[in-house]
Amino acid sequence: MEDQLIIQERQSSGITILDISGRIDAATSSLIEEELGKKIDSGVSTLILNMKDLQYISSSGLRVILAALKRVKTKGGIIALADLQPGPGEVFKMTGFDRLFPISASVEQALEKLNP
Amino acid sequence: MAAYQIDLEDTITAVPQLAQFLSAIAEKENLSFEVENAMQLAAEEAVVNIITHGYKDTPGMIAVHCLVADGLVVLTICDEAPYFNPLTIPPADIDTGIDERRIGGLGVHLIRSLMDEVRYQQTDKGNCLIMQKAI
Repeated sequence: MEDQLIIQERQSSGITILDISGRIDAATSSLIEEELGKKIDSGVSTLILNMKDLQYISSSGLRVILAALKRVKTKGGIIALADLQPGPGEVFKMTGFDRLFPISASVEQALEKLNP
Repeated sequence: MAAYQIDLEDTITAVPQLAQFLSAIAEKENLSFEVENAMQLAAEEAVVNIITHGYKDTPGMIAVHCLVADGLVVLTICDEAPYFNPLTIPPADIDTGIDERRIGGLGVHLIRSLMDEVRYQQTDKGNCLIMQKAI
C-alpha cells in the first residue's frame, strides 16, 4: 500500500473539492487535519472529499473528518464524500460513519446533490 | 508456515514502519486486499493505542509478530507498558447522530470488527494483544 498522503484542491461550480490519495493513518492524519482546518478557517463550509484514490483510512482519519464535519455543520455547511473505495468504504460502514456523511458514487454526483 | 517480526521503538516512525512491514508480508504471502486491509487497520489501532495510552507518547518497545500458517494470519503485538486490557473498553457508540457522536474511541471497535478472534494476555513485562483472521 502507498504510505503517503497527497491532497490536491480544486473548485467546481463554486464548491471546493479535495482530491485525496494514499493513506490517512495516525502518521498522516495531521496533514488532512491542517488542510481542512485552513479551508474552514478561511470560510469554506461546503466541501467534497474525493476519495477515489484513497486506499486506507484508520480511526485517526475518521476522527479528523468527523471533527471537521462538526465544525462546518455549525456554519450550515456539509462535507460530502465521493467515490469511496472498498477498504475505506468498509471502515465507514463498520463505524456507522456512512450514516453521518452524504456519500456519492462520484464527484459529479456529489456536485449534483449539492447544486440541484 | 512463515513468521515475521519487527520491533517498533520510535513513536514517530512506528506507524509507517508497521505499514511497510505488513505490506511486505501481504505481498510475499499473496494475501488478499481485504485481509491486508484488516491486518493494517487492526495492527495500527493496537500500536497507536499503546503509544498514546500505554506509553503516553514517550518511547517504548512494541514487538509485532506475524504468523501466517494453516489458513490463518495471527498478529501478536506486545509492549512493556503498564497493564491494561483494551478488550475491557465498552463497545463504541456507532449509532448516534452527528451531534452526539463522540470523536474517537473507535480503534478497539475496528479491531474487534475486522479480526475473527482477539485475545489479551498479561506478560511479565507488559501486555500482548493476539489477533487472528482466516485468510
